[in-house]
Amino acid sequence: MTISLIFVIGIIGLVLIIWLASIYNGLINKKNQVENTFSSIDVYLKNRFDLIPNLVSVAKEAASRETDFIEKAISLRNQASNPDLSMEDKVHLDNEASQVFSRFFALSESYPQMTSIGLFSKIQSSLAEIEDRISAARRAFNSAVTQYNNGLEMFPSSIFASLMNLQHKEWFEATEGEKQSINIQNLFNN
Amino acid sequence: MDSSNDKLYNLYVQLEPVIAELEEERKSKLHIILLITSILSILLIIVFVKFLILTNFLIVFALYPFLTLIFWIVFTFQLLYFIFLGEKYRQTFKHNIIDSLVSLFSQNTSKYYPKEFINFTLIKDSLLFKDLNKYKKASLTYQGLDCILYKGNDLINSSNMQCSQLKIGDGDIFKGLFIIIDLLKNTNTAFGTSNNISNNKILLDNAEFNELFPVYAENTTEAFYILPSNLLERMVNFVHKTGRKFDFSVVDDKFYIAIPYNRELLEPPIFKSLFDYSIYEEYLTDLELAIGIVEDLKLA
Repeated sequence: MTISLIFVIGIIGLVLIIWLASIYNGLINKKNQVENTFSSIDVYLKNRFDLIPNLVSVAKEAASRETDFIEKAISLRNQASNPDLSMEDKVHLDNEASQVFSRFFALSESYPQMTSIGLFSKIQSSLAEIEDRISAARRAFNSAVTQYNNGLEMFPSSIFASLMNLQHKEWFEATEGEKQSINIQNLFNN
Repeated sequence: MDSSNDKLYNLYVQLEPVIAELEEERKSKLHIILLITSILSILLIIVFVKFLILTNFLIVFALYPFLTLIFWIVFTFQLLYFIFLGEKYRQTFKHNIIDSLVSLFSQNTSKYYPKEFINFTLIKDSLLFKDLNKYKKASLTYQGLDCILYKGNDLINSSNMQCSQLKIGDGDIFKGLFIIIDLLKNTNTAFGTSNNISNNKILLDNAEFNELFPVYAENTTEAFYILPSNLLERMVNFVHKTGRKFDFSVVDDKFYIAIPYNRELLEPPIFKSLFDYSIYEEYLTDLELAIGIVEDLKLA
């Protein structure tokens, strides 16, 4: 009788451990997914910041009077090169970068000679692809964050989450300019 | 009556002389086939009855010759069909009727190429089908091979789409429409609805899409990049509109779509009169499915 009872308790205990382990692993998996998808955003954000020196070069050549703009772009590039930036800082800098690039293309209307510089069209085409990729990476990140946050709120994983001290993560919101849907036809057609 | 049905009716009237010629051929050849099959069947039945008498009507002994008899009747019909009607009838029909229907459906964007082949390597590369290794290349059946290639225009290259009726492994793996679209860039990634591709199931940002299409990918971000929100919506809408779920994959520079379809598409009838207008309405529906999917998904 005692052996049977120990056996039953042992089986129940084992099932319980497997169940708890799967909840724990699920949460860790979701957390890692958030980090992985953010690292993709990070790579593309870096690619976009790397375009700023070219942008400054074009602006200096064709719109040298726009010193405020040029200084802002240089300052942004310097801030972005800091290796100790937090996720929030990067999101903030991304928004600023979007504004700088919007301003850059707005300037090309006031200074049409900008468009004749070879680097301008290079920036334009590189930026288009990078922004499409940032947009996709942002969607992947937000989807991962949604799953992660759901894991934190749903029972019984919510108990584990509080024991593990896991915190809610914020969505990476797109700026208005970035919300335009990307054009998949670039992949299919010339 | 909408305009495509109007056009179809006009085409039907226009094609009447060709249809009449083909119908004449179908009827006369079918009569010969049926006559020879009947004579051979009667002879086989006589042999069968003789055998039954010899075995004192024991059903256990009769079962095997009975099945053999059925097999020979079917085989004889098939053989005679290929000898008398077969490829020539099929090809004349396709070149005259189906080609005109394709032109009617989309004059400038598509061309009909009967008997084009889809390369076996492409079928394997799509990663959509399991256990392909158990089939030898030669034993794969490409039944009713029809390709509709899009002619070059402002938007599309002539080589960037193949649409074929495909049957793999006697249909137990796949039978239906198989579409291959060339991407202009190599994505250097693989993802799709088959867990052949990866064990990592990902969720995209459209709940309805996730319910309809399980997507497996190693690189989540790349899958999000190639499947933007508006394409996810169009895929969901296509399923709602046609009631057909399909499989897809993206592998390197190709987008593969496999739509299961039980009926053979665009094949000439044998027992039905070619004057039966409903046949052409069915062809039009099939063509709408084949050509329409790329337009619906706005892939081109």
